[in-house]
Amino acid sequence: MPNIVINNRSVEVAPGTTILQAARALEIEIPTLCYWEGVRPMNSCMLCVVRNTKTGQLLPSCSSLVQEGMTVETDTGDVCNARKEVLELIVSEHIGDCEAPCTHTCPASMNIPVMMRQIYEGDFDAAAFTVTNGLVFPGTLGHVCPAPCENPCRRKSYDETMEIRFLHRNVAEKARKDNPELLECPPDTGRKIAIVGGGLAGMAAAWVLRKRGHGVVLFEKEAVAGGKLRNLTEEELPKEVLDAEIENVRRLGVEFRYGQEVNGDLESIRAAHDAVILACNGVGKAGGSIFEAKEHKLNVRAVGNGKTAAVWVDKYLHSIEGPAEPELFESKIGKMEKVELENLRVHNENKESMPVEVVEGPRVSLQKEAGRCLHCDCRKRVSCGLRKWSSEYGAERRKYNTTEDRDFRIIGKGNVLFEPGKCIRCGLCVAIAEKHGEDIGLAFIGRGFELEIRVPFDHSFDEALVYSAEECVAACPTAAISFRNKEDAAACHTTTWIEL
Amino acid sequence: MPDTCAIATDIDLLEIDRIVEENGRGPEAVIPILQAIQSKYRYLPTPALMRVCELTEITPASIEGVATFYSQFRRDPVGKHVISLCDGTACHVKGAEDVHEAMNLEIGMEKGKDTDPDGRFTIRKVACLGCCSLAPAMQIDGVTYAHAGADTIPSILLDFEKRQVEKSHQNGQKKRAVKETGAEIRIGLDSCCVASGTDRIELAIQRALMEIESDVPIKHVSCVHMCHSVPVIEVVEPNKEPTLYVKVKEEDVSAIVSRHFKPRSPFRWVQSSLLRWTEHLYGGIEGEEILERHDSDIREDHVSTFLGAQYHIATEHRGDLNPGDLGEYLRRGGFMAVEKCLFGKASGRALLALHHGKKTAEQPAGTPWTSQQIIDEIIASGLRGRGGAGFPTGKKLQFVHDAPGEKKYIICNGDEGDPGAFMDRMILESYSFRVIEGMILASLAVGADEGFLYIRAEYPLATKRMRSSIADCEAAGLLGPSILGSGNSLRLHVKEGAGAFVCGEETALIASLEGKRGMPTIRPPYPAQCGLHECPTLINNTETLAMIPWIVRNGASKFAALGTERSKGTKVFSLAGKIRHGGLIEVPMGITINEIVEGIGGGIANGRKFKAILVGGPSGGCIPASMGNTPVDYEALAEAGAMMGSGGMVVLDDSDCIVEMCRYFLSFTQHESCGKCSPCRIGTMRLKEMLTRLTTGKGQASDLDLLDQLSRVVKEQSLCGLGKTAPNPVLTALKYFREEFEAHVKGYCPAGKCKALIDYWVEDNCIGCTKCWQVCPVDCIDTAPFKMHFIHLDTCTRCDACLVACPVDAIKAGSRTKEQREKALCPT
Repeated sequence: MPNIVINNRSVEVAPGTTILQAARALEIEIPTLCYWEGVRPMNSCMLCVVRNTKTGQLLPSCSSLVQEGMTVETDTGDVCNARKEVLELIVSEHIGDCEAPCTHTCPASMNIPVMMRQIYEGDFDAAAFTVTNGLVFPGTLGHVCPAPCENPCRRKSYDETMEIRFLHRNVAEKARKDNPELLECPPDTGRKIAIVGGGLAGMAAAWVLRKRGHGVVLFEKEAVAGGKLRNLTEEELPKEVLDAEIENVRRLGVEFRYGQEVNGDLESIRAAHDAVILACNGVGKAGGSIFEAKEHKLNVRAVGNGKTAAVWVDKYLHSIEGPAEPELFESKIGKMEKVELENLRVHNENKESMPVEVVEGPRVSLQKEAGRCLHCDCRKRVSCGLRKWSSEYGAERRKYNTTEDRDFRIIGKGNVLFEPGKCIRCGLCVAIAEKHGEDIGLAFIGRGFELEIRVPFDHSFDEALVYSAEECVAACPTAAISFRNKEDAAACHTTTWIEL
Repeated sequence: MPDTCAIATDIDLLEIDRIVEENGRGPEAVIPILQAIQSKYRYLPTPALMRVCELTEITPASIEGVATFYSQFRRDPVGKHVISLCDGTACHVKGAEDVHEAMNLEIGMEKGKDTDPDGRFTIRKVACLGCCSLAPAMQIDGVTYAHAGADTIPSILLDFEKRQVEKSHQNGQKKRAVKETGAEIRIGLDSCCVASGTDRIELAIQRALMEIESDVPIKHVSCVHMCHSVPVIEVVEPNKEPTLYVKVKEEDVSAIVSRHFKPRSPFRWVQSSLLRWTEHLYGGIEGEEILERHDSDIREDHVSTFLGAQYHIATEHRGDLNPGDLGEYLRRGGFMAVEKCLFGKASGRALLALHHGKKTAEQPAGTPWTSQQIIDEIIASGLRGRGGAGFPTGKKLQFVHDAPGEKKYIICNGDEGDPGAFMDRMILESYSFRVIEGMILASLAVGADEGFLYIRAEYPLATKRMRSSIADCEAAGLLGPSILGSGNSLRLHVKEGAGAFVCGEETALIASLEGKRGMPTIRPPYPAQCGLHECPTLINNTETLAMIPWIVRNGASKFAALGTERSKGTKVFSLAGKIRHGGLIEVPMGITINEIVEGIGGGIANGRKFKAILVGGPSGGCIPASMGNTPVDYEALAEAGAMMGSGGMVVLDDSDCIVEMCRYFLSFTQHESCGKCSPCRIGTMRLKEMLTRLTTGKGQASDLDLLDQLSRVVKEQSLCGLGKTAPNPVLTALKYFREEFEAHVKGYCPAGKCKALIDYWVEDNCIGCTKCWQVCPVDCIDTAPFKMHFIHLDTCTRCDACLVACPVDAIKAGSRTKEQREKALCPT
């Protein structure tokens, strides 16, 4: 039984154990991209390197076997730097947006492309969840939001923008009133949070906190919630829409205390609650267990502020502290040329599945409109390993000036999609297809920098991955392989940036 | 209408069935099957590949992966003839890129295409043809041409067409009777010599001998090593010193022949004399004059300096051994080492076996050597791997010997991918039996009974020689189930590579033998423990194996007496580039760079200055002239930042740009990277981009630090040797020639090599004759008669035509710094 010392901790492992496995046994985290249980180590990304202190070599831990008496370090500055360097090389050829321009612009960060796909497939329940999770007040904002999201839309640079606001308003209107998923909450955590101010920011914060199982009491000085929105005309915002959405917040279990002005007694409220969110002006200052969710004249920004504050409170309640979050890594395509957009459009119109179920007339037009989306987003915006580690190691996106042609395409008419620009050529999919004994499978084509993954003899990805698509999508360290109609669960349930 | 592109539609699938039948159905058969399909159709048609998948265990993923990995394979149809332009290091420094451009122009290639519109020619670049001392080299179908240049291309194409016609005529030629009398004419027929035209010289000799009805035989000999002077012929007469003629031309042959051999009948004598006299009268060449020229040239200085410092072990009997003749090899002590190991002493069994069939006469036998004895002998000799890394050979033998396992393999690594090196090619072509002997000895040492010779696809002659030599040895009982009746067995197979530099890496080579893409795997496990088909495998470089027989025959101590403390024996190098006398040299370790360049190589050609020497090819580094006292020794070279590598030495003079060389090497390694690990796959690309920016004047000062930093990342974090050594040229260049990089940042190329940094300008003495304007192919010169002309640099292609055309030398070219340029544009 060979012995190894990892970061000054000794462990005995079975012969044939890799350094990575030994480290995991010690609960030492080593980042990996191209490692997947059940297939041979690919040795492609070289992110999992550790330093062998005796020889001074950097070893890929996923495939280096533990040798008796080995001593390795996994987290020294130079090891981290080595990982950063490798990430910077990988991201230098990564072509894709971590966030679609629409989502990126939305102050409440609603996952718009996911909504588009759900509408297109006719899954209005799922779409209702997406819009509510994103905007909390999709119907209200559907009337009052100036729709900053529609401005950077790639479809707009091609012909006309996607009607994003029109769609989320209609989804909200057509959502089933008894949609159970919408009002589902996890078991009570026993924590109680006070929110001061019943505008959109306060209510959005209340919604998110309830969704995480916390008890919420909302103090509103007026007799009704909704703040300045109440001043709008019926034409600008039908009262019925706003009331229905506030009612939803109440049904979720938020306790509204109307007519309660909180001025001098903030301290007593703070003492009676686990945390306080100030969603109004001039009441007090943030600090300690008091947080702030600024109201904003841009309503959707108010919602975003509320959501963000709620997530901070949630973190606070779970005592998640430590260093400030690393800056989130953002891969960006930038402006796309007309031809590139044309490619995307053609691909988009080639998809095989047309509306799954055509029941009601008006829905068809919604589906048609949603079908125009070019899907330039990343389907793994949350679970992408490359984004995660690039953020963690602070990889610089544009360290190198590159000269190669940008190739942003989405390949595949059927259910399995392949985006070569996002592929890091690790070959996990090739190995997984081989493991499942696929008749066609996937092949490495070419070599060197031009290496790419392709289906042999021009078959489709659906034909290539008959038995192994599920595992390939799960294993792919980026969103290079994904399903057209199956969303990444993590991406759908995220509420704000800071969680990513 | 292209007559070659019509094949795609009608693939005869029965032909595919036959190919599969011949090559087997296992996954490892994929490369030979693809090679067979390609040699049949000249590319790989998709229906054929699909058929292969139906018939065999080969999967679509595997066949597509392999077919696109190796550069030998093509998925698109090709023209009637394939022109392979060598882009090796030696060819590169001698202007391969200009040759490419000129060739494109000559055959009317459209931009971005590799086949001309008529489908006659396909042009492709190849990593190295291994004819470095004849650079720039090129191949049309099977025919190699040396010293190609923009000016010689028309004549090369003409010659090729002439050969096409001749081919059909040659078959009808009469056979000449020959007699062994001690007289003979020796001619080298390895690839270099052939490239320089020895095959034509041989035909001319045949004709000349026929003319005088002589029975003197022509003997093919191993590489003569004097590649700078080929074609070389040597005339041997009984009881006389042999006479060597260098740089022989076809028209010189009859004079040479008649100088040594007299016609058999008086009538013939008169006839041939008359003929020569007539030739002379009508402006032919004066016989004696030619002899003078050749003779004196060789007798004196450079042959002795070229050969003087050399010591021949791997290349023993250089220049007089017939490479295809087993009998001759045996008579000169061949296989004595094998006899010594098998029977305790060398008693000529092998020779007897050759003459009397497999039944060997009773021989007094001594005590056979144990495998450990052989290993100990190699350990004592201090022999280290000649493939590059210099791992002690004896130690490697010991590992494989000690590794548990019934089945063991031995592999001869003949995948000499290093552009600018041709030692292995020459050894395989000229000393095939020595390699076999070395493999037998190594197999006895480790207990392997099956072996492979993995030879580059670009070396067809080596493959052919090796195959026939193996067959000869099998027939003589030297290979097969019982070597010389000893009971030890060894079967050898020749496997052709398919064009991938990375397959020189041992794990990639094994992957390739197993029919996979040549992607390296992590070590450990080393091949010595888990190699081919997961059995213990000994992999040695060709040259290493060729040294073993000499060591066993002459004793370890004799070998260890040569060389330095840590590097014993001799090393074969291919010396090429801007050197006066390039060629193949075998020198004792420890000799200095200066002794090689100035002594053996005769210094730099054309009176230029020795600037640096590139040792170890794209994995090595450049050693500046100022460090000419560096001895050739594994450690000393590594300390200098270079590495022994497989033994390519390319000499640069002061007209070569170091930055440009780095760009060239990185574009080579980039192209040859297997693409498996990201540091190498992406890192080499980014390095290449930065270097390209520098050579085109777009570099920034910050690029130099980034270049250095990224080089270290690629060096430390790549998976295999290719990536780990790829940045070496950049790192050494930055160390020794940093000021040259800095100059490029300023837009100035001190060597005047980087085209984008060369300016053409008109000086005051311009007479306004418009001649430059008339020859400019891109119309970039502003002219008005009798006024000073002006050259627009943004459209200028730096073709040099104007400079040549100017009658008063008013056009100047050169690299200038940004300030100089601005000053020239606005003189105030």
